[in-house]
Amino acid sequence: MNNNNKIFQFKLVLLGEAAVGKSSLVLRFVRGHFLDYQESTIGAAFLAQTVCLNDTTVKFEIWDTAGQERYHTLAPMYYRGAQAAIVVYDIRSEDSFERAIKWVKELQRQGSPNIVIALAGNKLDLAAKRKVETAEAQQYAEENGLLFMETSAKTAQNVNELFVEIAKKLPKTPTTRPGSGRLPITPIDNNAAKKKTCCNGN
Amino acid sequence: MEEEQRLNIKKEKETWIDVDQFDVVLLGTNFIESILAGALARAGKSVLHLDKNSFYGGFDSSFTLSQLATLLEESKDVKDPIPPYLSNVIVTDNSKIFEEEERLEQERKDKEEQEEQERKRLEQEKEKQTEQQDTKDDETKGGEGEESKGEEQQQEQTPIVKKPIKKTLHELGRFFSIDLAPTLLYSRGSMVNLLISSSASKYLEFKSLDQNYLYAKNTLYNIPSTKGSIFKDSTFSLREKRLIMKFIETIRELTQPTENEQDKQEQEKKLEELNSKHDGNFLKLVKSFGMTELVESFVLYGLSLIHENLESISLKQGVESVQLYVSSLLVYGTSPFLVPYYGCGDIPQAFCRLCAVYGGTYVLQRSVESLSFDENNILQGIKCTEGQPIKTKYFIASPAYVKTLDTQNTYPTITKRYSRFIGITNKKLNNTLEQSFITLPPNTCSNKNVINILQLDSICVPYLKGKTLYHFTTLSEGESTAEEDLKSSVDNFFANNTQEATSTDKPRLEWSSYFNFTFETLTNDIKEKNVLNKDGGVLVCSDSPIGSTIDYASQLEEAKKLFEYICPNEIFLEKVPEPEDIVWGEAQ
Amino acid sequence: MHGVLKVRTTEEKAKAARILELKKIEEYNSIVKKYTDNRESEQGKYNETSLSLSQKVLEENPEFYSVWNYRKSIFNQFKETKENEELQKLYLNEMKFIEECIQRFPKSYWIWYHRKWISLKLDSCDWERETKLCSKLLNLDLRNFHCWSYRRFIIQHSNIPLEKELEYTTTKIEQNFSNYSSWHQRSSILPKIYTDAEEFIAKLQEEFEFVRNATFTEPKDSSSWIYHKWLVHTIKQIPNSNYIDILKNELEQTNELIELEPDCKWPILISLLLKIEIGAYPQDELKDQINLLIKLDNDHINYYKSLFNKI
Repeated sequence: MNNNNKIFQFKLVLLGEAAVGKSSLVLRFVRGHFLDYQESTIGAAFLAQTVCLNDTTVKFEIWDTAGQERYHTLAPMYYRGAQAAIVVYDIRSEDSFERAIKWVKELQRQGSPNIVIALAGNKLDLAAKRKVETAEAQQYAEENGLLFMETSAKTAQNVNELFVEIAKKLPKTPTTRPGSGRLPITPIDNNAAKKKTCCNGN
Repeated sequence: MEEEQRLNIKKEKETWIDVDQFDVVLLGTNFIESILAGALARAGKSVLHLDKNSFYGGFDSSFTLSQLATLLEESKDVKDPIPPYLSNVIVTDNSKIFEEEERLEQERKDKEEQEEQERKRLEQEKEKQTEQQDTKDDETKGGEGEESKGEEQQQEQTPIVKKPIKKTLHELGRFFSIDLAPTLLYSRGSMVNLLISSSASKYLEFKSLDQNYLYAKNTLYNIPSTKGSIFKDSTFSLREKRLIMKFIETIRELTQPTENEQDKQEQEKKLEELNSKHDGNFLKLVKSFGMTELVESFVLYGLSLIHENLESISLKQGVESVQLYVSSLLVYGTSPFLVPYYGCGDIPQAFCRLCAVYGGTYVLQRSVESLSFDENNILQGIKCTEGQPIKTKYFIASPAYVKTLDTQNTYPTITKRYSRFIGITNKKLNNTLEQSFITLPPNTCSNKNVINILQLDSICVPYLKGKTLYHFTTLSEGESTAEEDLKSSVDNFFANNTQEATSTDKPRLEWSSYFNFTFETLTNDIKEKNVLNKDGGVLVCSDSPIGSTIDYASQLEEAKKLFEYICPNEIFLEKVPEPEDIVWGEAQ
Repeated sequence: MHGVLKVRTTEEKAKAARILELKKIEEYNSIVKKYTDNRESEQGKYNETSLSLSQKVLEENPEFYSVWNYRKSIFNQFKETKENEELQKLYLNEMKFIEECIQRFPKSYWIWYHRKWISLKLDSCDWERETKLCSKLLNLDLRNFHCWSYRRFIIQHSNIPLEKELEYTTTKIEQNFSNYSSWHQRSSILPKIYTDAEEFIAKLQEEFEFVRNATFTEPKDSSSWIYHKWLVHTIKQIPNSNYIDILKNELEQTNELIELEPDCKWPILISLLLKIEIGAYPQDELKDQINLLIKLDNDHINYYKSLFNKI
């Protein structure tokens, strides 16, 4: 039990058209699974996974769109407080790439000003049917200060690396949450009727 | 080829929904509809949830200042409105006046400061000159040392600091989350329990209300309720302390959850006794403890928090209400209440997300044009405003929609009206904690009914410091306007101009509005009939944003009843398993 | 059916948990073996390696008290062989380590004892910080008597003013007066602060008022009554005090409480004891009270019977 590692928690949201493989990416990262014919993920809208960097641990709280991106109905609460975002497109579809660009703009508008955005060209295992050139996406990413990787949820290529890159880029300041007294509700057990005071060594 | 075909069809009906058959279609994403949608999806129903607005929540949403102002303005123009609607709107915006005053004041101060600095500088110059004279006279003394001293003196002049430009209220307005019908949540209430069990709580953030007050005899009294707060409170005599505790103990004995059959029976017996002793009337029970009038007020208005029809509250209802209050203490903080951090509008959003997570489909900016029934008056489906027909078994919406779309059947509802005031001031009330709730019993400030005041300070943004948001709510009777119902109390607490604010030390109202909020609700006894009649699968749910009690108990009840009708014998929002326990196929 | 989740059953969950547990046990055993091997070897005694190996054991199991003792021996050895500067650094590290252990096991005798031992070895211990640590732990569990005892230890060895500690007890009592430890702490500090008889009497009178709020708010709570008894006992000891008058006043107040709560044993008992103290109350009256107590609280019948001898 090494208590020297500091843990930082970040909310990460996924964006991208339906069927580009957002949920598969998350599933691969969190569970190491991939399912060929997964219908829109049921019940998987909220997953957590940690990434260990040298002397810090980064915990991602990953929000999946739950299909609400389909008719442009993502609620404001989706973006709120998100410190990182992955915008996914399918490398076989120019449409999905254009849509991804729109999502990036949406993030720049609705998201917090310092949000770390990563562009992910997914389905790299199907590169034979590629329609979006790596160079094009790379250039767009550089121009807009985004991280960029081409991934394959199926083969796991670059999936972990993507999250690690994001973890590295996120600012490791102790979460100064604006306004004291924000309470995420955790289930109450019989004894834990007291709000836990934070015993981090000062 | 396949890909191209897909793309073409998509472009043709880009706005159409992929699927054209659902178990349930809901229109409007207010509370009840959203909770119901979440529950239905969780129970495995295919759900389509539409809303004519571009945002979630309708009138149950939380608004920024400009959105609220627009909403209020627009409502002024509506002729013959149907509930839910806002009326008798009065908006007063003094923010610009005060900002101008402050700007002039700041200019004046800056000018004074500059003049002061100029004066000092001239003085120093003079001193320096006389010093230099002296050093010229005493050339043997270390001249260099003294010259450098003079230089130092010059450098000591304070540079003119550029003050950051203060933001106007309207610029800051986008950081507010203002509710038309705000409420508090009991920490152990049905809504919080539901949020936790459905894990919708993970989408939300809350903070604990700091303090609950009663306003009586021109004073704000802390509502004491924990042993510790009663112990500490010097307003009560020793005897009163005992009596309040005795009252709370009695309530606890009656309602303490127990598995033991014998204990349960004893509780029921005791309740029976008290019921017959006090004619089933809560007020009589309270009076039987022989507490002083002030302490009785605490109990009636501070602990039971039922703000309507005090005389007719049943003993059972009053007792349960106090128990809920007391058991909610010290769960997340010293007060029993939670306030959603970003406004109550988060709650419908959270349940809609829950619905989506379990497969529900959401389309905003879409409404329903018409309903179609077969010969036997059974609902067949709906037609969207884009023209797309959707087959469905059930259509659920609020009375306004249903009455317009289904003119064949009758849906009996009653109309309720509340008077509301929303204000933003430059600081909070003296001697209060930041997030506070204040109850004004009837006749405190010429008010007929209880007035509830919610004070919320600058929530999540640091530079909103000082700006405080106020909500006043009271039940409106007859045709009385919000201004008529609330102005006395508003003027009692706030100042309307700087002069008044300085002389009385009251918070100054920068922006304020009065309005009445009218909505339809299914009456208690007819609720059953409405559902039982099963009018071809069309179900109405109330737009009841303000219940007769704090918290969402009545809204939840209604959502449950509707759910039970559609899914009999199913669990309402069954507990969601931890993500770690969900199995998604075998590992590759 | 659309959208149904597949969830692991409780058996599956239990099985997975058991596997995890076995793994942990195996890991722990290997850590302990390394430690004991090292300890038994001649070269291994009392050096950095033994320090780090014993630490690993304690991280997993801070209740392994002989390992703490072993560490003390290591430090004693270091005292002979190392420069003070280095030694102090080691002590500070040890304090940090102990703190981590305390946070996980706030009620372990061995850990607290070890902390006391090390704190006295430091050239200058930051007693303020120690107090803060106690306060944090007491916020989580007001009844942690280890904390309270450590607070007394701090008072003994530091310059922290007693008034501050008194204030602390006031805060804790206001938060929750059903706590014997806070009252007890108060009773141990007051005599130390109020050395002058007159001032002490005045303070005790204030204390009677203070505790009365507790007894009226919750007459069933024993900790406030026990403090009341201590007050009575203490004020009696002060020479030349008008304690009889004060007790008479207390009796009056207690009788008022009995009116409100005729079935509660404590005020009746205390009223009886006060009457005995004050003296000059008819035997019959006192006997009736004892019998009433026996009726209300049969569990302590023997104690009440013994009171017959006192009247």
